[in-house]
Amino acid sequence: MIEIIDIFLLFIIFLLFVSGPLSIYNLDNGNLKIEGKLNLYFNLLINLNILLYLSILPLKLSEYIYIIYALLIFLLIKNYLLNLKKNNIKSSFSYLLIFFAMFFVLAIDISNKLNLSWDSKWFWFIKSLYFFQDNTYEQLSDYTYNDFHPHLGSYLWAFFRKISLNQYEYFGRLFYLFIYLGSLMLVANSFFKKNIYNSIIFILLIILNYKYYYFSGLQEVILFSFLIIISKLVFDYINNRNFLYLIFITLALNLILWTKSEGIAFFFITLICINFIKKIDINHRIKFNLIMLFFLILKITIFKIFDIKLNNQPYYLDYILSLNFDLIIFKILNISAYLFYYSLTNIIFIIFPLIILFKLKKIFNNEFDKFNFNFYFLNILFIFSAYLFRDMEIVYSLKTTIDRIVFASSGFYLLYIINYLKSLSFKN
Amino acid sequence: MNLKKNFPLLIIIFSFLYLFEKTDFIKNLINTHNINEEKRIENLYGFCGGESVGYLRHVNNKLNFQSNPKIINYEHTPQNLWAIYNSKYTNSKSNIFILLNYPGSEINLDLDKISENFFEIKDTYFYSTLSNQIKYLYIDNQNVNKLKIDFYELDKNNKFKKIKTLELIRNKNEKYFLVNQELSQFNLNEKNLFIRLNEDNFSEIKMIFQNRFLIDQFKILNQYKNCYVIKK
Repeated sequence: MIEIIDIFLLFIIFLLFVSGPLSIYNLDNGNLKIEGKLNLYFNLLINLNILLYLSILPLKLSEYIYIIYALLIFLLIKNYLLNLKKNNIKSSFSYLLIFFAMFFVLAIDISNKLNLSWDSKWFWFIKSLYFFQDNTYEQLSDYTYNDFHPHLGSYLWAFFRKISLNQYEYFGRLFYLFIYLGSLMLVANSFFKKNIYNSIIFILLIILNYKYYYFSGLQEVILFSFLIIISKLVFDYINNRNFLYLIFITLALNLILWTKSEGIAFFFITLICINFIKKIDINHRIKFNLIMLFFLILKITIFKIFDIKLNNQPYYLDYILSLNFDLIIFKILNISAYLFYYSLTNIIFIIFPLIILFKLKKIFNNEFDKFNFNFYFLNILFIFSAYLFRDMEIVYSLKTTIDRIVFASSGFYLLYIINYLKSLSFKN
Repeated sequence: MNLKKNFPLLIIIFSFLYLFEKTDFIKNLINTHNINEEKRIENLYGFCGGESVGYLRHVNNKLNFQSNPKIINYEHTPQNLWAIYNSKYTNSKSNIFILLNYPGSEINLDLDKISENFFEIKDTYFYSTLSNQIKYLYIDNQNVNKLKIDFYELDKNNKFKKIKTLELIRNKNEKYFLVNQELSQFNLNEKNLFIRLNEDNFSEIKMIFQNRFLIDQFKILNQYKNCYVIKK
């Protein structure tokens, strides 16, 4: 019973984590009018960025974890409890109830399956143990496999495990579930005006998309969720041209950069696609590119300071130059076959290109259509080049990784699909 | 009850029920309530069998290791140091080994047939971590006393490339062909090795590796069935 109570308490802790610093009832942030519930996602991005840089400082997790929660409780009191009468808590209650119910059902599933994936046992979980056992980022550099991937997901695993009562390993992974459900709810909420219908969409999305495997300690589910949030922010930016959205896109992309090595591809793909948006304010463009450059340089600098290799994946110039025509054809055929096969197992990746085909003539008339098309094109280009230039046995490499790349990137197209279905339902 | 009005609610209820069924919610909830996490982990990964995480946690608590021991699992599973890893001992060298699913002094491997006389030695890299050499080859035809083996690997163009040839002899009263091939002579990574024989008149073929760890050469700190903690 204590374990079940712990899951419930963790849910409250996760809620607390996204409830500040911005209040969801504070609809006016100075001159910037933003949708109230979107503040939850802004809070998530702000707090995760703060945690990211805290994780790099020479501090032990147990030294500051409770200070962070004390601050969040203070913000909760300030933002909500002091204005209880003004805030319409009731309107959010049904949302919260459905969200909690889904969280609970899937958390119980995770608590039973428990199995960690191959990569999690090699990299992600051991890295999380460094933080959980009160070591610092500097000590993490001693771990042989640290170079392969960045540490953010492992750090979050340790952070939320540490705050729980029983500190079971899987409690940290429940935060991945929370982000995942949060991102699906963000997309579902953009469908209908009535909450109850959006709740149906939310549950259907989970039924169609959820697999335990995604929560076996793999980091792709974090990329998937951040890409959903980014697509929503891009959509809002295109429609409102408010620079605030671009700021939060950079924060989300910074998190992606620190989640997995492949994150750099999504970082650059989004950067390129945003620069292709028509009539983007020159000030916005300059500031956005500068912030992106800043985050990139900051990561490179941190890696240099801690003597971490920027790329420990098998990509070498000698190998790329040695590729002959036969091998390139052999690789391309294999990549195409496996990409096609694994796309068929991912409903988002099947539907998106079909919609693109239906709308092909109109695709460049709408900025969000164009953005998604460009993202898809660059994403496919990235998948092909990642395997083509990788000095590794191609079939083995494809069999063990391409399904995850397809899943992670599919997050970006979900909102587009939902919007398309919405447009169809309005037509009828 | 107004069905039209409550229709969305009904869909939500049915969706929930479907998700309950899909994730086996009731069974999961009862398990989480009745079985503690440690026992669930043991049920999942085995005590001494498969990944043997139960045994690893048991000896970790009992022997209180002062370094991260080297874990050698004779069943090909993901590495399982994660189950007892202590990040404080990252750089400490350990003279303690945990052997899981220990098969004895020799490791038998059935070879996968690709064509009549062409076989794959799967997971060669994994076996190279357990053994230094291929000691014997066994085929179930006692009438064959001379055998020629060609070793192959796949090159970058995914074509078979011959890397070694051996000629083997066995006496009529001997069961095995003596191979004595050092694995260090092959450049093993994730690639598998293949062999071609000059014979195909047999139904069973086995490769026998010499185990790198002979437990009588170590001090045994703990044993449960075929799981051991040994010290140099």
